[in-house]
Amino acid sequence: MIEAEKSFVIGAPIDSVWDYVRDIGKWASLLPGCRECAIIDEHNSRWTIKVGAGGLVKTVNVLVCVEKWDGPERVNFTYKLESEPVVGGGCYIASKAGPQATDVRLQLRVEGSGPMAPMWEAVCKPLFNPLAGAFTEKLKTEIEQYVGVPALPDADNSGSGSVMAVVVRWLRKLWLAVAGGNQSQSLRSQELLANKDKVMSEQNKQVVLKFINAMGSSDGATAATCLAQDAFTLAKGFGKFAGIRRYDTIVGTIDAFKQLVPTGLRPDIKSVTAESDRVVVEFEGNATTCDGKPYNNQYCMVFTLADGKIKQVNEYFCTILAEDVLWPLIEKMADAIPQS
Amino acid sequence: MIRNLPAKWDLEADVVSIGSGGGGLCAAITAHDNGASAVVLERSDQVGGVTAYSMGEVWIPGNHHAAALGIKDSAESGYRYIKGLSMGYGHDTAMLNQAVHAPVALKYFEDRIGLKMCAIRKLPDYYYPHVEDSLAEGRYLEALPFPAATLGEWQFKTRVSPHVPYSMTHDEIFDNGGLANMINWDFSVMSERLSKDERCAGPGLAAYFVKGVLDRKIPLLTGVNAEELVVDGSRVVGLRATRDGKDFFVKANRGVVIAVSSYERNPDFAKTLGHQLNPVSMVMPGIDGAHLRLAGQAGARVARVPDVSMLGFHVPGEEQEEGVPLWRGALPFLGLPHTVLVNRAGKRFSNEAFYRSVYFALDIIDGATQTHPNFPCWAVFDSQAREKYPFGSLMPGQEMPEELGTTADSIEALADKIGVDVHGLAATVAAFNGYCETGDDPEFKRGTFPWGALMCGDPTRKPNANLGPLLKPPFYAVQLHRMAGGGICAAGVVADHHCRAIGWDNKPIEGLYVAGNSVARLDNGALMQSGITNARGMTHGYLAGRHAAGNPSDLLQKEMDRLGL
Repeated sequence: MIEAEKSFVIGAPIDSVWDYVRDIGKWASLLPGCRECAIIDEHNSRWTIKVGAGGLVKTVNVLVCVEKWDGPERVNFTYKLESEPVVGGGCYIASKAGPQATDVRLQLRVEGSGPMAPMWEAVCKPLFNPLAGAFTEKLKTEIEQYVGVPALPDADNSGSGSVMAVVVRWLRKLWLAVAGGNQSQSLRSQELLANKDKVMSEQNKQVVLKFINAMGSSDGATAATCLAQDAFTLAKGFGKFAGIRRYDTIVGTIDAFKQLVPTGLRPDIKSVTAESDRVVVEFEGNATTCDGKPYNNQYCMVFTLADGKIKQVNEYFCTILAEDVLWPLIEKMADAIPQS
Repeated sequence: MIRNLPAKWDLEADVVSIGSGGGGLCAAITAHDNGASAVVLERSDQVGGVTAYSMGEVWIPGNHHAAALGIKDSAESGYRYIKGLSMGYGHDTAMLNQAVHAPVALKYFEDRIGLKMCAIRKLPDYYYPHVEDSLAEGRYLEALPFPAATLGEWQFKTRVSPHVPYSMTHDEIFDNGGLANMINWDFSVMSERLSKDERCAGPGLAAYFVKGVLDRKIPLLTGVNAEELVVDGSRVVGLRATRDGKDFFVKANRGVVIAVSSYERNPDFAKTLGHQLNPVSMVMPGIDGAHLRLAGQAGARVARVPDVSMLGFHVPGEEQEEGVPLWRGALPFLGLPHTVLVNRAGKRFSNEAFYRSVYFALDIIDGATQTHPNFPCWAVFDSQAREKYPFGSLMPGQEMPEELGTTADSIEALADKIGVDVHGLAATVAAFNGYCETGDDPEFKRGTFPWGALMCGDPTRKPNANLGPLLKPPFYAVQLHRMAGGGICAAGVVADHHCRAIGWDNKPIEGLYVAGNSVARLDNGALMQSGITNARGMTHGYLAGRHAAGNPSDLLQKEMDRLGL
């Protein structure tokens, strides 16, 4: 058996860390080489991983079983390679290190079985520690980025009667009405370092422009084709619009936006810069709201893509203007929709 | 001759190697050590070439390691062995040239770059003991494990092989039952070598040469694709390459050495030069005949020797690099006990334990029907083979993936499933099982080549390492694909004894050299013997490097004088 243990501190409260790690799809997306994670049920998932070793690239399917979701302190899991006699497991142990800090320990093990067990372990050994190291490093970075700004509360668990919760509820309801709530549970992710060539940058640029145009014309369906299933937007700033929005909220917002702004945003693109997995777009809106006011905000959006899909958008725009012009309209509309 | 000089050069050296396998690296090292400047250009993003893909065997008759072990041998004996088996398809001077220079080149690199080699014990020549001048051991050499961390930033840019267990030496493999008996290997050794990144076999051999180049501060440029030679009207003076999509002109004051392996990834060249129809390949996608395209431009002559198709298969989920399926050679697995190779009629057609026999039989054309009677073909084995032996990367005991092979509970059902003559296969297996009882295969003499017993059999099995009956269900069949030679090919550029490319007028083309698998195999004719290829790469690099640096070897002339030729 080969074992590894990694300890590190995440600069975020334990509950925020838990909010991130309780989604197994997120774990998969952090594992270098993980191409797909199909969620089977609450406990089981099947990961497709491409491992480069020994002069070849090998695709392995791994069945991961979370035996215990014991948040926010502990997750126990086991895994099994589908075609190779290799099994393993591990646990995630978190403890509060302070109001904004969480101690995390990751214990991992891998074990060969059958007559060739020593060979499987010999082959796995040099891969195991770097892989565990890369995984933990990304876990820390991603969580810190994820909780770096106040998170937009989820409609399901906000419990509070805050205005944000009202907005989210309104958007979600609209989205469900439009899309019928269908959402695949499979997500795709890819090594962050992959696809850095120019061709990819150009393709990424086209995806982003398609997304902005779809957003500008309130075409949620087209915008959705540009997004990874685990995509999120992160509106920077400190006003009411700041925060994270996930896939369904993003698409719902775009579809709903035409009710607020019947003209569409009418984006006038000023610059597009693409490099490796990032595309940065500066643009200005030229819109009129449903109550006839001009809404001409200025935007800079930083898109991160993987595998031809948008994974993350950091949005910078004037939140003061947005609050002044859009917020009263949203409040009025939310009040008009009966609670379900 | 053409004249296509550029307005300006981007890089200049006396000797420019195209290709970073053994041939290109050895030419650069030798040129440098003979006072010339050198540079190595590599098309892909990794160096080491096909040398790094190989088992790393270096076959050199009359080498000093054998002598130190008290094994009686000579370069002359090696020459006679090759000449006899070449069937007259080679050139005597080319064979003698290789025979006299290989031991010298070996010693040269050991002395100069710290290459550490040893004799592989117990590994016989292919044709031992069937022909004169064959030896039971001593001609096969391999590199001692190379600490790849010493390559610094080039550690991970130096190729390793998906095809060979490069963390074990031959002796370590043989001492624990050979390739067939992986189940008995000492994996603590493998684990330690992998952890420390100590490389054996081809990856180790190639790494020594890469280190030699790095130690000399010879520029080693990856991502540089040679597009055309630059000729000044009378001699080759450089080349136009592309780098990052832009032209990159490299001036070669003394010579360009083309050492880019073969053409097997070019299906048209494989068909028309190699007579191989749609072969799969185990080498890198870039091995596509660049030498023929480049040297052809300067009027270089191409020659062909009788050559064979190999056989391969693909294990699902394995890629050589992103998007390129990995094909594995079937050679080591066909002669294992409990395994036969059959054609559509369900009949064996060769000594499966000696791949020269398999592959020549494979390419036979039946003139009466204008068909290849032995292709397609299938490896058929039983669950005893599956329990004990690997099949490619499929380890003993591992389940047969549906995409790889067919499984059935009886031989008849298996034949039916794969579309092979049912009675034919049943009769073949019954007869074969009978041979296994006596230990004698009267049809194809399986087990009579000691090399095949060791490399394609289970050496622990008595009385015959290559025989074992197919008895225990389930039974398996794997359809095999025609495979090119792993860089070893029928046709190449003709070279003289200094490795200068030769034109159709039989005159050397000034400033143009070829090395390794890019060179027509007139130094071995109809014969191939593993380990010759790496020896050729080293020797050609040595000869080309010396000549281009103005210090050509005169050994061939001396030897011809001595032998009165």
